Amino acid sequence: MAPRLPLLAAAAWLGTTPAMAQALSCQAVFGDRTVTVEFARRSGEVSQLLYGQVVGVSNDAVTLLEGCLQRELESRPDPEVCRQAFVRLQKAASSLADLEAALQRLLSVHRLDRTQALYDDALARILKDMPVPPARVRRDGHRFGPAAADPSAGPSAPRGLSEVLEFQKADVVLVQRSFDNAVEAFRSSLPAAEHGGLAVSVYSGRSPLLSRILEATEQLETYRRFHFDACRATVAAVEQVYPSGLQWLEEPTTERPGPP
Amino acid sequence: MPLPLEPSLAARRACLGLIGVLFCGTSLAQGVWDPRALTPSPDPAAVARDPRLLRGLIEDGRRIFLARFNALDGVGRPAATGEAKPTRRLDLGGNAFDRSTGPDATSCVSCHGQGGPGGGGDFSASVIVASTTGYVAATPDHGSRIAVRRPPSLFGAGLIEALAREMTDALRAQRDSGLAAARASGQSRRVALATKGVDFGSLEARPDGTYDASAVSGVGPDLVVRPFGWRGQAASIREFTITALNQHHGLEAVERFGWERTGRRDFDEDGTSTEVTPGQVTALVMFLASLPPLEPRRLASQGDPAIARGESAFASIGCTACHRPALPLEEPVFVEPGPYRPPGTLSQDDVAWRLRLPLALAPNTAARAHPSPLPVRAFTDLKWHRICDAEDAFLCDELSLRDGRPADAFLTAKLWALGIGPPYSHRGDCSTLSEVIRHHSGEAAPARRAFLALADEDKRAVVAFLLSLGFVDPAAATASPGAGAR
Repeated sequence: MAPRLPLLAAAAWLGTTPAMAQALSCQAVFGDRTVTVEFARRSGEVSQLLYGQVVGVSNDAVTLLEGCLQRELESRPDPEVCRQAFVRLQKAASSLADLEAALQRLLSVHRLDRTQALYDDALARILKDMPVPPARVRRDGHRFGPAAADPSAGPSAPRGLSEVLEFQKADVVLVQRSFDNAVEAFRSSLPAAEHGGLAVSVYSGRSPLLSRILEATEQLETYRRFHFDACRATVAAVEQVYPSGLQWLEEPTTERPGPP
Repeated sequence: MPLPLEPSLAARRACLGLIGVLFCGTSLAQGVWDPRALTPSPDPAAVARDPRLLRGLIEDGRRIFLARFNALDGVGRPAATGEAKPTRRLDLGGNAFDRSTGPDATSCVSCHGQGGPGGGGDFSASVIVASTTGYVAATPDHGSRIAVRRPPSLFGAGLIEALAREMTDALRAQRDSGLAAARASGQSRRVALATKGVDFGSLEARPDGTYDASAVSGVGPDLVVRPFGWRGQAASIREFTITALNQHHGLEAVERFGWERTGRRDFDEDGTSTEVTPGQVTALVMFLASLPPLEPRRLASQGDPAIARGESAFASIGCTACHRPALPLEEPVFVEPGPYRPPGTLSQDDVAWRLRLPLALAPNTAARAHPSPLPVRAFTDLKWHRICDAEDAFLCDELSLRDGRPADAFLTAKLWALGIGPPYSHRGDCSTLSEVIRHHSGEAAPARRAFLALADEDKRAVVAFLLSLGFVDPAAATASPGAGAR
């Protein structure tokens, strides 16, 4: 069976399409043009990993898991769909490690040069004036508890680019831990799925699988939201200070660029 | 077809629920002059910051264990069953106490008192679990079946949980190593599972990270060794404690029955929203983990020939294949929270604090140099075994299939508290050890036959040896609860 086929089958059967949120990368302007360019490139890598390899694949996993459970509810279990769900969840979890590494590379670029003072001021003002600071994931995710930490509790809201990036890197570790727990719960539940017994196992509450999946996906959504809100602030800051730091950008011309 | 005048189930539930609320509300509003019993409010995070407070936390746990709970503490669960997981009662209302389904006790020590706080209980204290006398939610594994279970001795519980964690760690490491090898080679690998000399079968690790657990034996497919409960259903003292608080007292721990897990602030609708805090559960756990095992009355090495002969016969007829005399504990430290927790049981992911309690084989030995690894002489392999069959079904009272485990599979009983005395068996309905031994069947049938083939003198020696395990001086235990065990 082609790798994508079970997903499509499950998605078509469920009448749903895996949702894909819009990617957004953090932006910054540095004194050194090459650092600005490199930062944008590395930041793009982070977003691609987050949205493409983590959020997207995680959505695939959940869609397949629902398909797996639905088939059992209909008394026509399909362990292969369950296994494909697990493989995708495992992939999403391992991509979180890649994401952490990509964030580390981004932080390294950030340390190469100082950001423009105008940009720093603009970003600090935007972050400070946000009516609700971007919420961050919390350690103790629970079924009905919000995955996002109470923004009013503690100095968790970022105050500048440095904190935006450091918080993104620190929080991805918490999401990773949740995904590792979900992968372990899924791996341990799969033997039941091979005998068509996953639905009994999870709906009776004996298997922690659904709790772990819900916790992991909710934390990921909170993380994605934090990444989005914080990066949106950085984009707004760049817009506010333009052309400062980006003077080298050329205005568009009426002539179509020719071949190099 | 209901009669026209018969109220619908929904209406009946609403009425009973209303009666329950009015009853509780009225009685509380009219005034209750009794004091609360569940008064300690320990803060584990503070204890983690200052380990000198650990002794106080354990003392808080002891006070809770001995406390006589009442309605002000949250006793009763008119809207909830005694299930381990939050489950709504089909029939709301009912009495605060119900001997068949619980709540059935006002204190932990009511049933765990033989030989001192933490000990086992008599047959009169045996509990009825998974019953459906009108209100336990109908789940596939309940039906209308019941099972009677004797309160076991909890002495040495910390050592047992620490052992189980190490065994789970080892089994999972073997699995993960096999999975890594399968991934690297692109081919499935057969992985033998064994830890501390106990064989748990094997699994087939596949390159895609999944595994086939059909050849795993004595433990669930998740490879978590669950050393508590007669059928080995709980991985930790904490998991079991929370279940018991609900089952026997209707006291619902916030971490399992609170809003974050159930979406309800007063899940059991008894008028109390916060019943047992994570700090109070932690205190109970640390108290239980701190209980040392009972020491043998006389050691074979101390020259009692009958006990020595019994010990030797016990091994030679094959009993020690499952009742392992000792399992080695590499790190005799109990860490709370632990790593293997189901949802609704505080885990290491939930909190930043950790409590570390050094464990000892006997009281006042913590400071002494321990052998390394520490031999935990519980006479168990912490594994499930089939102990009954068509030949002798006496021990087969479990009719339900839980967690995919065969109904005739039980955890190898720990024997290190047998010296406390009868009753015996998981139901507590045998007054002599001989009866229990005679009813061993299934995997234990060869050992039973070998026992029955022994000369009477040797049979008596085996029983004498078993009764020498876990001695409690009855006079001391009666004079001061806990003194005999300590």
